[in-house]
This record gives sequence, structure tokens and C-alpha cells, in this order.
Amino acid sequence: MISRDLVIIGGGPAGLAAAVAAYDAGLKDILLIERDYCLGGVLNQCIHAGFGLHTFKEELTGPEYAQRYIDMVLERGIEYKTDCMVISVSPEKIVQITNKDDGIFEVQAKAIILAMGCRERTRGSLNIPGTRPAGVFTAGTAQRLVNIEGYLPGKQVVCLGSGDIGLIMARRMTLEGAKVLCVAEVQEKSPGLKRNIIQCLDDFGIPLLLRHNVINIYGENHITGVDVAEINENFQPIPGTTVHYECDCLLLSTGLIPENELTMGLGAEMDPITKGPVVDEKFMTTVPGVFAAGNVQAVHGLADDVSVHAEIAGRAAAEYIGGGRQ
Amino acid sequence: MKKMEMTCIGCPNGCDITLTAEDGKIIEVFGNKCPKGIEFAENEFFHPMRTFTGSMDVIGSTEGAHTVSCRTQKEISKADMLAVAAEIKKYKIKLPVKVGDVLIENVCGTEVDIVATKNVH
Repeated sequence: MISRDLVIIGGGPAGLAAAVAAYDAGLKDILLIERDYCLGGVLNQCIHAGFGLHTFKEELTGPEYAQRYIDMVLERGIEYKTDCMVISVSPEKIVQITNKDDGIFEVQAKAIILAMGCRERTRGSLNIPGTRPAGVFTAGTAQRLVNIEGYLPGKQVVCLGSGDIGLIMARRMTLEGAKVLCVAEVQEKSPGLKRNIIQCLDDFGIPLLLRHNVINIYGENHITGVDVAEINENFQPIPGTTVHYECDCLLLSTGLIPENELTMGLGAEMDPITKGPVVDEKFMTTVPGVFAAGNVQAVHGLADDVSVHAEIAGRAAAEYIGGGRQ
Repeated sequence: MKKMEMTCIGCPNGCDITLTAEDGKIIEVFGNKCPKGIEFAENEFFHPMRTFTGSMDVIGSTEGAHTVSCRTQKEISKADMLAVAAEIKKYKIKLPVKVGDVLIENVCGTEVDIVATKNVH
């Protein structure tokens, strides 16, 4: 079996920053594992500006922000493997990995940093009535389709949820030539950043409907429309307020949840509030030597904050191995 | 006297700024927590500016990439956003490109270049 001092699972903002910090704290025997064909994680599809204001004191796009960290990883010669899927992590710190070339293989680590990021809530978790046609996407999926794959998932768009990805995608779809009819938000206040409401909705005259929900989805094969209604304090639709929108795309931006499959398989204690693992002040989970960094631990609003927290986890992992703490 | 209420988009703080003007001249900018807010408010009053970001089609990728992400090197007039978005669709970018490479010079006569924001080969 291959062995490494530190295995980091995930090559996005958390994994990259953790790798650099651990290396700089004296740990050289590191393996960084990434599922995609390149490093950078979700930053690769976050092509809008707004990253790095804290970390680099300038406004960068997601790919530019990622590249700064990728360059740091490359400069240090930190070992990384792309196109790799981690299947399981054991409390004995054996990481089971698979890829096209090597099949299934295992790496014994002295410490592990979980940096798998988060997932979006899907239609299935929202219980929206109606048919189940194509054309209903999470905002992040649409973001990947538009920005990475080069496809436009619809031309008449309704967005449910005004999280930052939803706001960003409302503008992105508009710039790509689609018409965004409205953004419906069940809360009284948008969870998105104010700057995004201004530059993504107001700039393009896209209405934000607070205390509104999508209450029906229409379409046999492909979505043909949705009903949007005002809701009361119990989130129930108010009769007589329903408006029908003809659309060929519904985007969902209704929240993010830490990606927990490996963490739970490992047996780490989970936190019902963050929905990620319970961690100490150095981001160590209840499994000694296993750390959680970034959105896998708790969903962060800003990538810059992810980097800061991941650096703490990276240094702590180096300290854990160096100090021989058991 | 004219009062303009706005939210600064310079950073995630999103300061609520009030700008007071008289006879087309700014008298006071209030509510900003940093100097960026003053510049933002002045621009919003005279000539709103935005950074454009988007993606462009590529040809000949050795890693299977379909697009390269891009931005305007500096802010452009807010009024030019849709024109720039339509213009960049007309191009197919030859690879490889690196972060910062100029993809279109002086896009739509804005005197600002479109640059790559990703290394793509």
C-alpha cells in the first residue's frame, strides 16, 4: 500500500489552501486528490469577479483566484492526482481511491484533510408539486453548463431562491441572451449578498419577488411553465396571488449542504447546525488526525474565508503529524 | 439638491451610501466604510461602471475544454455590458491561452481589452 503523511481530499479552494499551508508548516509528504480533470474545484465555473478582496487585496474572478493557489501548489512541487474518486476513508486513515488508469487503490495516511466542498439542494428536497420534466436545474449545474460546457440550458428562465449562485446565474443567463422572468424567494430577505442583488438583478431589471414560491411545475417532456404565488408566514401559498410564467428553464438556488458521504462513512460525529462534522478550533473532527476544511465543514459565504480556515486546518495537520499526537 | 441612495458593490460589505448633489456637482458622499465607496458613488452618479465577465468558445483544446473564461481588464460602462456579451460570442479562441492573455483588444470601442482568466490548453 502507498503511504503519505497527509492526504487531502478535494482540490478546490479548501484543499489547495490546506496543501500550501501544511507544506509551509514543514510537511512535505502530501498527496492532493481531485475528482475533476484539473485543480480548482467550483472556482473554475465561478467566472464572475468578487474573489480575493481579503486574501490578495484585489478583485479576481474564480478561475484567477484558483490559479494563484494552483501556482503555489506547483511551485512547491506538492504531489496531486486528478480524475480520482475517493470511495471511502477509514478511521485508520486508509483512503480508498479509484481512477481510470489504476483501478482501485489505497493510500495509508498519517493525517487526512477532508475538503470535498458542498452540494446544492435539489428539487427533490423542496417538494415542489407538478410534473417532472427536463429543464429544472440547480443554479450550480446551470453554471457549469454555461461556463464550462458552453451550453445554454434555457431561454425563458424562472429562478427559485436568491442565494448568490442564483443571483449570479440570473445575470449570466441574461448576458448569454436568455430572458430571466423573475427570481422568487421564500424568505422576507434574500440570503444573497446585497452587491449581487444590485449588479445581477437591478442592473438588468430582473424582479426579485420576496415571500414567493414556485407552487407548480408544468410540462410533459420539457418544462413549459411554473406557477409562482405569494406565501404567508407559514410558507403556505396565499389564494388569489398565483401568477403563471411560461418558461423553458427553472433554476434552483435554495441552499448548500456540506458533502458528507465520506465524512459520515468515516464515523465522524456530525453537527446538526452546520450539517458538517463537529470540529475543534483547529478543524479536527472527532476522528483523531482527520480534519475538515472549507465548505465540507460548514458552508462559507466567501471563498476567501474558506482559504483562511483551510490554512488553519493545514497547519494543524502538520502539527498533528510533527508532534506525534495520537 | 438631489439625493441618491445606493449600495456599494465594491466588496461583500455592501455599504449603504447616500450621495448628495446640486447642479450636477457632488456635495457629499456618506455611509461608505472605505475610499472605494466614494469612487463607486461618483461613478454611479455620473457614469455607472461594471466589470464584465463571461466565457468564450475555444478550438483545439488538448484537455477537452470547450470554453475559456474571460473578463474586461478594467471596468466598462454599465450600458455596454450586453453589447460586449454579444460581441464575444462571435469569436473562437485559438489555444493555448494563459491568465491575462488579451483575447479581444478594445472590445466594442470601450478602450478596454478582454483578457483570459484561466489557463486553457
